[in-house]
Amino acid sequence: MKTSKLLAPLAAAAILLSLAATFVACSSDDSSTPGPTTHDSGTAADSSMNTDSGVVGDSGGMQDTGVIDTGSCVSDAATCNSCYSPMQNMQDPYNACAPSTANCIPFNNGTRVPANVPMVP
Amino acid sequence: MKRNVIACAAALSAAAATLLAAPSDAFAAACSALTNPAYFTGSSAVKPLLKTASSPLLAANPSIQIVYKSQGSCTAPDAIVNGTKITGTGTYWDANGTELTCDLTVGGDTVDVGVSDVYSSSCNVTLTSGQKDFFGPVQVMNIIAPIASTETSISAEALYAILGYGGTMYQVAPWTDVNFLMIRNATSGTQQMWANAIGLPASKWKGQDKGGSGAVLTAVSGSATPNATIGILASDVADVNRTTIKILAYQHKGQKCGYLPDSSATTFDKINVREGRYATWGPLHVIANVDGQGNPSNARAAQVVNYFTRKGLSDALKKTQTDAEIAAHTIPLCAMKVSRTAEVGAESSFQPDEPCGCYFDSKVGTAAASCKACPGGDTDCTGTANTHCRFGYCEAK
Repeated sequence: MKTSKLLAPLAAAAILLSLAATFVACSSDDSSTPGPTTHDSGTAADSSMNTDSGVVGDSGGMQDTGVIDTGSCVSDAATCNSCYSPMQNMQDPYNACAPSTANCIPFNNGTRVPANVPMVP
Repeated sequence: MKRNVIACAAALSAAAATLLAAPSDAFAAACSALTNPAYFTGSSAVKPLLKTASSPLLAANPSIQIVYKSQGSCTAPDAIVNGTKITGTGTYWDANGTELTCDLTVGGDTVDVGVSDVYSSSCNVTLTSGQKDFFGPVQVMNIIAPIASTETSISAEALYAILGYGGTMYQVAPWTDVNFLMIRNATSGTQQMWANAIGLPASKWKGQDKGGSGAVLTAVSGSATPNATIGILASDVADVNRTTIKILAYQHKGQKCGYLPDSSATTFDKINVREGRYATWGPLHVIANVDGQGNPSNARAAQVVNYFTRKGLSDALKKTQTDAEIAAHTIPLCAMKVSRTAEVGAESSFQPDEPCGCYFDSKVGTAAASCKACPGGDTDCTGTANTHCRFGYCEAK
């Protein structure tokens, strides 16, 4: 058997895997996700939106929540995650985008809450 | 003889004067003399709901008269599990919704139904197979401030520092004085639910224990230092007092933004609760003793529980009870899109057996454009994704 015939199925499998990975990474960008105009609150989009502010979980006794993998998608909203798929919206409804997200009011833990508040004795 | 008559007349006059001067409560009717009284105890926050729910139960066949003793949510499972009786003064409402009082039996009355805003486990009480927790409408808990406060939002992390240290250290301005933190105590469902939300045990809170929802409302609305003042209050009390208090947006741990329960400060749609963006909510826990099949073991409790669960109710009665729950600023389960199984636990997608989201929206404001009215019944819903007509709107099931 020729080498090319042996490699053909492997190449096809690699292409399929690559396509699947691309689909997973970008599936949250589908049309069912509310557009940024409904929840931009006048806040400019930035690249830090997929990460927590660093203060969550800093208050003693509180636990951080899990982070949902949205692949390479970068949210274009500051106050919610526009990368979420409908299923991911249900996994983390607290950060799912919706029309009423436009009226949310951020509280800046970083500037208003002392760092490293210990567990209350 | 004449002297005796005068003496008797004087005595009668004195007695009459005493009677007239005495507070009206001293002559309240015996609760046991009311027609078919069902004794409730537990949450103080649930009072507005019991008032609105009282009317359909009074009109039911057989008629049931709710008699309620407000003591705090955690007294509810205790009363059912341990048989702790209620004494003193009971509250009830007549057919017009007028609040009245009655005297409970001196030796105490056995509670038929416990009503709590929190799971029994939050009160360190374990239900046995002889009791059951039936879910009623969703109660929403709020952080409130005086209407004059310029603050609009608060976070779980801030609340942990504020209420855990009472301003003595780890201060979060402007809430730095323990005298202006209007709280309850560990028997309060409102405080227990917030305790779960922010990770601070209810017994460790610093602030002024106001004893009940009404006193929290009075203290917060009347505060002379509005920016420094916050309190905790359920929506059924808070929503009808928005002219004197404001609800702060709450940013739960892990959230990037704070949310009001409603889409705005002037609406009552509870959309952020119903869709899972506002964290501090839970179903009303209606607790009763049950038989081997899990049904309430006394007839009065069964009838009450069935109203909250809608079991065996006609469509008309379902609508009546739904209206009562909406009127009390609670959320009927049929209008929810998320559910949870633990105190401020993880949320999951929820499809009610008989959804009523469009009707809820129509009652508190305007039904969404996607809601189709069906005055002609199910046939009006033919050809749409929502094929069932419920309370005048096409719904999915």
